[in-house]
Amino acid sequence: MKYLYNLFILSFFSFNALAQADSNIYINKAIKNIEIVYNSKSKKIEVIENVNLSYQSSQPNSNYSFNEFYDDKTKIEDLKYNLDKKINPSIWKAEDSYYQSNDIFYSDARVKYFDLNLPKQGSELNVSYKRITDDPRYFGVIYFSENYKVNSFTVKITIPNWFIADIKEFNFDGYNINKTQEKLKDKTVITYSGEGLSALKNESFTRGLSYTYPHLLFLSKTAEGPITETYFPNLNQQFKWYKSLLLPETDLDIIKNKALEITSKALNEQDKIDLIYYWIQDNIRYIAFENGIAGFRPAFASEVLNKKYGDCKGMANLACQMLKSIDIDARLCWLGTNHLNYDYSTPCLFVDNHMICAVIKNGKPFILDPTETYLSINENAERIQNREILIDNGDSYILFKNPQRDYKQNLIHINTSLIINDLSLIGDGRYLMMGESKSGFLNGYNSLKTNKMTEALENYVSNNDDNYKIKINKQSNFSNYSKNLDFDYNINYKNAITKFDNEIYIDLDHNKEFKSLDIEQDKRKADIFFPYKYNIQHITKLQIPEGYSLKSKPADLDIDQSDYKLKANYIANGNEIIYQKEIIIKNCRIDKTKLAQLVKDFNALNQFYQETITLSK
Amino acid sequence: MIKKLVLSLVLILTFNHLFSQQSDYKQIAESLKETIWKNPQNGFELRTTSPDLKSESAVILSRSYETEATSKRKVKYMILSAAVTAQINQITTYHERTLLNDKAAVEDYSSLKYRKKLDNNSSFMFNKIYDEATNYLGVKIIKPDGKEILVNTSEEVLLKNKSSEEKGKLAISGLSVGDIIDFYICYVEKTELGKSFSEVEILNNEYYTMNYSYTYTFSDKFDVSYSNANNCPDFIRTIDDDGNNTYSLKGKNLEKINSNWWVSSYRTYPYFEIIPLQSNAVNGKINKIMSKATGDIESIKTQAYKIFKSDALTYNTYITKALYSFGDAQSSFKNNKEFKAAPVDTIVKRMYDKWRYDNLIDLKERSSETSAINSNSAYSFSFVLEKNNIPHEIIITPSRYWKPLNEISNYSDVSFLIKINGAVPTYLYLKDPYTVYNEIPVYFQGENAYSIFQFKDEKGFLSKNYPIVIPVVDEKLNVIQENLSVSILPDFKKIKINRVVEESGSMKIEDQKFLLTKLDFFNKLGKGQSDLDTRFKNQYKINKPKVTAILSDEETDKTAYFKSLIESQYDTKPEQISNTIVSGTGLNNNDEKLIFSSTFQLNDFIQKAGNNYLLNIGKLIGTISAVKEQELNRKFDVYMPSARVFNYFINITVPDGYNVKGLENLQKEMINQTGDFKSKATLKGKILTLEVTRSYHHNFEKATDWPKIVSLINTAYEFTGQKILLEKI
Repeated sequence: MKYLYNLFILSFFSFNALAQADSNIYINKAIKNIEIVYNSKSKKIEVIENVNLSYQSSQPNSNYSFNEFYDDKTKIEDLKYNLDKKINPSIWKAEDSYYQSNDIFYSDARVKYFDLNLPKQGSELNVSYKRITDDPRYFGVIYFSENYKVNSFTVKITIPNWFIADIKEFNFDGYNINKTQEKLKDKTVITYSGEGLSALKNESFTRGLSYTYPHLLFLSKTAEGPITETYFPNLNQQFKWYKSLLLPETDLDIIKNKALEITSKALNEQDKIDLIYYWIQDNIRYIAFENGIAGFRPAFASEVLNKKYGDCKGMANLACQMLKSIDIDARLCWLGTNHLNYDYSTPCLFVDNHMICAVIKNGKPFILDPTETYLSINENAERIQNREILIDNGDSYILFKNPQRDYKQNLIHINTSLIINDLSLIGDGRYLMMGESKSGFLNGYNSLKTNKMTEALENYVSNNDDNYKIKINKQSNFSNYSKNLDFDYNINYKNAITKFDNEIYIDLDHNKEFKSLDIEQDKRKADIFFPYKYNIQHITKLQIPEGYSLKSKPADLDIDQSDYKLKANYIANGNEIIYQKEIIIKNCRIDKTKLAQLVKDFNALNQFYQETITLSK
Repeated sequence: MIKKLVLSLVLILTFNHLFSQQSDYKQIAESLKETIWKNPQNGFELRTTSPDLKSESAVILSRSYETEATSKRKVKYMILSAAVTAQINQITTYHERTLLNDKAAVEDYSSLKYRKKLDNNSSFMFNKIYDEATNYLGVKIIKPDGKEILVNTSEEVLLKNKSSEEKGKLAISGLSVGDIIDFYICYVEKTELGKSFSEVEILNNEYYTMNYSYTYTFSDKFDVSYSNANNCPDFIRTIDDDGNNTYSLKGKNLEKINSNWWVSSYRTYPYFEIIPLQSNAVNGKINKIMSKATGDIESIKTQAYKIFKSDALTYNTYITKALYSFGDAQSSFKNNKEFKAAPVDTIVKRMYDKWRYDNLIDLKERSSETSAINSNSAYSFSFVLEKNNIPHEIIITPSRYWKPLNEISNYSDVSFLIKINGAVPTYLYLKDPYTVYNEIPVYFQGENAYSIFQFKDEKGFLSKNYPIVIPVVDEKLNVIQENLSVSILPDFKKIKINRVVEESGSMKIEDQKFLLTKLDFFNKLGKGQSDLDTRFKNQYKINKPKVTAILSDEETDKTAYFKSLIESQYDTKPEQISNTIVSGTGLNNNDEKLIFSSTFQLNDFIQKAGNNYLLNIGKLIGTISAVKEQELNRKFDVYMPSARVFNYFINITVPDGYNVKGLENLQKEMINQTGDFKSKATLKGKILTLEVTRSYHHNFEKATDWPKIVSLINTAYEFTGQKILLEKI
């Protein structure tokens, strides 16, 4: 689904990676005047944003970067600046180019940008521009924060009486934001103002700015003035608008023939669903085109089939049409992934960013996300779990909450048996991966050239330790994403043993996951978000050499918090030592108030890692 | 050849049409499609590979590169005079057919980016100056069952869509693992801007290539020279009835490039160079000589001589700068008598230091990269040396990462050095501020070079060519010496290190770039000399805010660099970094070291083992990777950065109440003809001293000696895994 220009702020840091905002520049005053107006020339209702930003530098030679996104529904006009009272030259023009990102092959998103040097301490820069959105549907997210620290801000929204809109406030807690509302004869003026906003910051272990920074969601509902328009007064209207974009499939035969070919050996309906889902996973590449209305309208299924590529909408449509062609009740679905902190209680175009397919089985939706390349059909990625899904139900919709999956889905299980051979450890190992552990691994693995894959697998298992040599004995079919991924291997871990006199020191954990949890603690704004619910299980059995016994071991680690579990211990059992480790992230989102405890607990894990076992004669 | 002529015919017939009617774009594109894909040959008919190539990610079944260039001369009437401009029309077609065996290859070929159109045409009075180009693209996919699917190239998206330039991107539809992609890009260019069309091409690329060909056709208006090296097949020349010359080269079965580790590509892989030069048609002479360029020293010298003797303003500014530097050097002596009595080396060194301080350091600019033209600098320097009867020579040499001397063909292939023939020969390279007097940059060391001008004494200036070999600097001059004082923190979780690093010769330049500020240059090279002091103060005064800010930024960057240095050395994030000091700049001469120090704490070096502790003592010499199994066999010669030595002198304070065990494992020695690794550890009281030396004796080794280098690297790697036991008493 299309990323509207307002949402590009979410990926701003990738664009501006080389020119991160200079912390020596701050905004003294940020003023945004937003007004809904009727343009009698174009006969359209427009949203005009007049933006005026007054910057100042606290150090000489500070470097300022301006970049604003727009697209085919918006335009930026009257962009000008004055620096230390000098108005920008008349011939001056900001750069203007297509915005390119790795995720999107092509979109209509464009960016205007320019750089300036603020030469003196106390240099004053004033930048102003006007952004015009020619359809209120496409206007919606208003952030107060900027890339630079804001000393004070005012956002004034003027809504004529003939325009009905709602404004939702997000993440206001902890901020001193004043709101006033003035009802005038023909309009309502709502003003938000405040002081002291820190600059937008890209912290680690986060999902998106919408979870963290204060902002507004402007929900356009109806216009009954110079012209009459219905936007999204409710979810039903938004659904109808989405439906209106769908075009009837032009070449059903080609889709049906392909579906029949793919499912020719299917024994039952579930087999057919499986086969079509995995065929799309394997044969259709994800390439996103998000220009104009194509950002919302799915491509024809036959076109996706023919081209062998598509975006989420096209892939969902192909899955849907193929299944429907063989009489399976498949539906198109819209949803916002967990990148967005919104749900369908706020109907607007910013509430969703993804399309998938659902099959109605026994009256219940069975979710298929064809863009998830390496997950099995029964597994769901974290990004679509616990999210509201808008399912096409003919003239109406079904609002379905996709259930949360627990960490068990994402198991990674390492099981090794080792014996000591001089200064080496030798033995066997087995890896088992499921869910997002598996898809994460396969994403990297399949991006490699065939002749590099074995080496990559070995490096993955050995944790890039040149002393840790493995030889794969047996592996499951890595191309069969419906199954768990597993492989057996021999281990020859050279120089793994440290031996002095009658004592042997061994570190049996070669992986040490989460050894250093690199989370910013100082002035952290965002909650902590893990990408998915980890479930790491590790068992290693070591045969104790004859004449030796376990002399010392690290104290058992046993931390079981509501959001995560960290457990590790060594047990002597006859002539074996059994090392067991369990790392489980139960909830991906951990409130920032729990950060200190989180850091303490993961430090304890690291401390456990820092201790060997000792065998003595 | 038939195909070639057909192609030529189609293109030349349409050529003049291309730029006049853009609406014909589609028609021409269609015509090209027919021509290029018809009558497949040279492997373009292939659909499979031999079984041993099945595990390759992709195999290029065939690729061809064809260029046709014509030149015609036109008289353009300017304001005061008429000028003759050459219009070059060039059509270049790259055609490739590749079998895609895995997803990585499909991803690699899943989209094409290209410049669709360029229109830099300009007008002056009644004249139009052409500079325009158009790209035509064709893509088809051959499915494993033989079915061919034509990709609709009109589905391209334009990333840049201006009248002067269009840039396109095409997602390749219908592509799957097992498919063959067969595509071409045809680039049609017309220019009157005198652009160079010379090409240097390494044949190998990232995929195995079964068939390849290169074909260049030039009208009789061009002189063509070419070279080929490292077993690159020779060009075959044919001439048609119109006098057009065609040079073609083809071959089979090229290995893919696997690794660039210590490789000099132009000394390793087959490559060719082809240089078409427009003949001097003004004089009515068309020199149709095809020659193999085998180190054309004379032509380079002639070109150099022309520049050196010219009155061009830019060159004269270099002369002025050199004269200025000499004047500064002269005035730095107490009096003329002292100056006259001074050894040549002393005078030239002062001149060189002043020159680089004055010309390569700009207080107002953040970067220390210089735009000084090396050849102009060298000759202007020579000019001044000559005027002052200082014996010297001008040397030309290629970089060891470029073509060797016997393959060079033009002026830009070489760099210029000055060799001062004083009591001991010394070399000057006038290019970057970090290269000190008599320092030979590593990329010239050991190269075959030529002396092209010699000023011997008052008798005059000679221009005799004679070969010389640029000396290789001994390993003892390229040293990194690390002195570490290590203590274990009371909680036994971290170690604290006070690290002093001394770098000399070629080992210091990379760190100098990040650790030195402009103030360091001033303090070392400028301070105390009234004229330079004044210039510094003037620059500072005029640009105070900017200069202050730059110096402040450099300090900030220096601190960040200290952190990154430590992190990359020990592969772990340092904590509590303090005392970051640069105490020696190494800017004065070769013997002077860059010295920097810091104090910091590290995790991951201590492991608890019951009541005892293990210290990862081997890791204190830094992170060293073992040579991977797939890199054990090497076909190519080894181009190391330089002969060099790493010394580590590490003192560890043993904590009270603990004994040390395991010192015997720290006594290692590996010596062979390529280098050595030696370590020893001693304990005196509470101080454990570890001394380690790693050295590489040469900057170049034959591939056959690679196993010896591997032994050295792997010995060092194994050492980094060594631990000692701190045993509780």
